Amino acid sequence: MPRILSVPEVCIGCGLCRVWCKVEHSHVKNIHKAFKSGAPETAACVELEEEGCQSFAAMCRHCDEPLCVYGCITGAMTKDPGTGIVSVDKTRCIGCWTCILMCPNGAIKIDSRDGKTALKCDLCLERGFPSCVEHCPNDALMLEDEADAN
Amino acid sequence: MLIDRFDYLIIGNSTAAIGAIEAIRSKDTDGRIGVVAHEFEHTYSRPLITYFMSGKVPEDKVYYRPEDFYDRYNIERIFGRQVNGISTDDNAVILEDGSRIGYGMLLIAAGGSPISMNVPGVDRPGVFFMNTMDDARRAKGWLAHARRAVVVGAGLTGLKTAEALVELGQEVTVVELAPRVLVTTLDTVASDIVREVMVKNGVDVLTGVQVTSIDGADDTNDVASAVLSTGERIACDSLFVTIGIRPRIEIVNGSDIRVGRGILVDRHMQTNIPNVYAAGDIAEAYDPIMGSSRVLPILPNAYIGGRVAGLNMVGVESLYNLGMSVNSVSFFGYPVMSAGLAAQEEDDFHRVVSIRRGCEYKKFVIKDGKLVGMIVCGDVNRAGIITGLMRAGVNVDGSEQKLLEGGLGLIDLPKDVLAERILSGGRNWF
Repeated sequence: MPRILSVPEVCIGCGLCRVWCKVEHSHVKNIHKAFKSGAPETAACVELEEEGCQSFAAMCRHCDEPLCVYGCITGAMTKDPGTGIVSVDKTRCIGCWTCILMCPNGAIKIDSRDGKTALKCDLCLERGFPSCVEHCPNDALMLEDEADAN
Repeated sequence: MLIDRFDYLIIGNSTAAIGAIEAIRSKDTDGRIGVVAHEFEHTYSRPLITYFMSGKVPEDKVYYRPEDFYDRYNIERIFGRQVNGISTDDNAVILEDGSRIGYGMLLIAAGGSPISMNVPGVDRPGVFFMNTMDDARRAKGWLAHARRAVVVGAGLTGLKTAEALVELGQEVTVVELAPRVLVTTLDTVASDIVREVMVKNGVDVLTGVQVTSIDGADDTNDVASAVLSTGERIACDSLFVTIGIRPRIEIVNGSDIRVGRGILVDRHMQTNIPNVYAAGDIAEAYDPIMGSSRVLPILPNAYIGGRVAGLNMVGVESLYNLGMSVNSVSFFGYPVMSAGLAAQEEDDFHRVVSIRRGCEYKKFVIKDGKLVGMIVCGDVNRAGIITGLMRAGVNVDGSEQKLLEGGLGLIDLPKDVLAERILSGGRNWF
């Protein structure tokens, strides 16, 4: 099951996961250009949770019982029966935000790039490997398959 | 005459039926599944029909599941047939022509039918319901030659219909009997905000009034005006009746399946007959916040109820624990969410905390330390964390300020809940 695991014990709260998530979801996919003033809005699917010296990154769990999929009124949100990946078809999302109301982990947001469709962790499928995991400086994020192997 | 027999027979082809099919097929790839429906349509999303009417969503995008759904799930379709009764003694559904279809397990997911108005003129051409794809198609055709619409009923369907009509360039008046809009979904403050949003976008909203008759034109029978209880007359060339739906329980008339307002089911979505289940808008099912059963016609609960029924039908014991009220909708881009006892005001048993800043509003209802109701308008990101707290019954005493500031995150959850959320694939809600 490809899902990103968070390890609160070693998370230093640097927020690079959000930075790299935003790079990946920018139009240019380049860290030098993505945040320039005047660059198109980008978006992060990962939230950094902090309280005192505790912190961890939170994103979609690709739940076994995905309430976002069950609540989706159009059928845009689906869980692939083969891979288990939960994803949203942006061409069919109408922005009713029922998925946001259903997700107990707060892992779905209004996509700040268009303001009209749902945004969630897509595991960087287009990129091949989750950028937040690759760039976490302290191994506080792992891809579950890789964690299983260790 | 028995024309066929299925291991699983489902009456209905909408959300609850799909939830059941997907659950059954995840456990049983061989059993024969039949679906009987009075509509001919491929399964479609009912909330999308107003989007179809306005042209925002084309007809080929209104489907709820992909085109190959029935083939992929190996479903046999018996469409365009009306169910007239159920004989639980010989495990058969009786169709309108008297033919019978046998079943091993039956799911009744026939939904609801729109409630009509008992006023003169309700059968005039130009008067529409907003319940089926066919309703939306006929209305869309009619509206090409219309310009002024009256929508009766300011519930979710009524207001979404009004929005669609505005987008089509119609002049729209909404007429609601209750003193405010969305009376079953929101409290007074949130209702007023939504009303302002509608008015700002050009919808005329009249509350506390009724339509007493629908008059026709002099030369044709077509709708030409609506007469109100105030004596006022609103000229219109289309009128939409969106005052609610009622469970289609008449299909179990004459059987020994127990009904209240809907078909009565237990926490397994099972009726009083062991191999007969019900789910969706037709069922009267358990609401954990209310602590009792009720008819609650909302889409997420239809899917989840259908799923729970399907799992039990296939022998995997599951409980319907998620039957609380949840509504999320946006009007002209303004998002509104509510859950549980959203309209509850402060009393001896309920504590209410709320904050309003401009067009943003948050309200939480707390009973014995637990959240039992919420409304979030304007800023809705991460609102699911709050419904998650409601569903898990987490104590929120002391967290009121964080809730109101929108700063309540996963990190504020109790350690055991957090571990389950962060480390696992989500809890097993069933």
